[in-house]
Amino acid sequence: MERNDVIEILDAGNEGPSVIGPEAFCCGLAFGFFRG
Amino acid sequence: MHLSRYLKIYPSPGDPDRLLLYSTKRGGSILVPKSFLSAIADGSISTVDREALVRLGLLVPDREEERREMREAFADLNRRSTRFTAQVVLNLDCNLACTYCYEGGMKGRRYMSPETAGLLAELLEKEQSARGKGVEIVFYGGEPLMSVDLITSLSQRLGISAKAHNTQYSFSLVTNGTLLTPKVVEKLLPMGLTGAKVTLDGPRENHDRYRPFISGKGSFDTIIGNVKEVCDKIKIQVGGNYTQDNYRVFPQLLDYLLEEGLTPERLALVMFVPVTKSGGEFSLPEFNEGCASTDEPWLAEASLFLRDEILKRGFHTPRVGPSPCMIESADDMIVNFDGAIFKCPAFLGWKEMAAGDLATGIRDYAVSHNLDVWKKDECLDCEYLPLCFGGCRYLKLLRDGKIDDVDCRKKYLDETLEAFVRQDLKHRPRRSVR
Repeated sequence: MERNDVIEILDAGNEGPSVIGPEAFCCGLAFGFFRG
Repeated sequence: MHLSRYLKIYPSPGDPDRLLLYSTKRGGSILVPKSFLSAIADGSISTVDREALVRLGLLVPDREEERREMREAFADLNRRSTRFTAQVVLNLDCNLACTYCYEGGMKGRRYMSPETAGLLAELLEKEQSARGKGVEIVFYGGEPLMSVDLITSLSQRLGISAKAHNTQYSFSLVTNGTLLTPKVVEKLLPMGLTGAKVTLDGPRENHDRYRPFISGKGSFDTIIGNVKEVCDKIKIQVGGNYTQDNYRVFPQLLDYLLEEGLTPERLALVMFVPVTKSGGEFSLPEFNEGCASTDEPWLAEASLFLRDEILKRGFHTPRVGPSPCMIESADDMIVNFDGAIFKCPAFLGWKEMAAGDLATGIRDYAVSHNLDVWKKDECLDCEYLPLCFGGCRYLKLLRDGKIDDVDCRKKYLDETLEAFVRQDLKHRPRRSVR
């Protein structure tokens, strides 16, 4: 975990130029919230 | 600098002076003092903190620009795509007789013909040669392993083409697992097989009730036996479909997997999803346990409960994160056994939702699938947009007979997201800043 001046980063998430990666697409017949 | 509009602010349990900020856009989480929000507003935060927040997508220079970027997210993604993915329905035949089969109304001895397979190979070869894209096939059915010869011939042809054009070819299977023997896996591995998704609907008794062989005999032990023998050769994803009445027994399956030596390091993923209602030509009128909306009152409790059971046993399951509909991806398509092209496997039974066919190509589906349905103020201003992008068009079609609006997830996410985020923070290794 990185400690800055005041904020505490618990999880940096996905960094990069786009918010969505190609692996993120939901593939039907499920509820479209998670994708393996 | 301004706070991103795509974030949620939650209390920090046990620490009343701090807040948890979660970015729905990037999936990152931070803790900040309560006074920090006003410090952002008056510009008094340190340079170190400001730079970190920008990197994490929590602070943006211009909220309107951020909104515009979100609106164009898929155009950008499609421009950068380097891989074309086809989910291919090789047949509508099956050796099981699942009570809720999504394709139940259409099942039968319907197989993709060599001519149709030839057209498919031509289309995919064009992606490799003209556009330089890698090709991935997800073989699907019915039961794809009842068409092993077709998997072999298609894969040999596309593998040769990939080498000639210096691109990649690989494939995976969505299979019931009963025919996924070591012999079959050994045969398919050199042709590009990387993994398989099998379905186990909870412990033996429940699974065998919902997913028996046509003979009526249970299929659970056959699948477990195969998975044990092949899971070190290919990536195995265990899926399971639950209903309101049976989801509570699913953790018994997780314990059984561990007892049988199917430990988290041997399984790529475990994920359970609710059985959805089927529709179109596939509907099974005698099966009424499926759901058609995330707003069903039991679903929030069930999905949180099962995800926690999976994570606390150490199994891998997807993180919360952006998960848009695959219809938005220009480089994804579904091909039915007869050559009809769809943009989502759930539409296979709906002829009016076909997006073309292999003989004539993909047609413009922007209007029929209402691609811009979520590009309205209500959605663009919604903090949940990156997790939803208008929800599932299939469920909207199923409920209302038309895709004239979004399948809004706000209520479901209001009820679940905070707990999902806390599950990830509790059970998973944290991603650090690069």
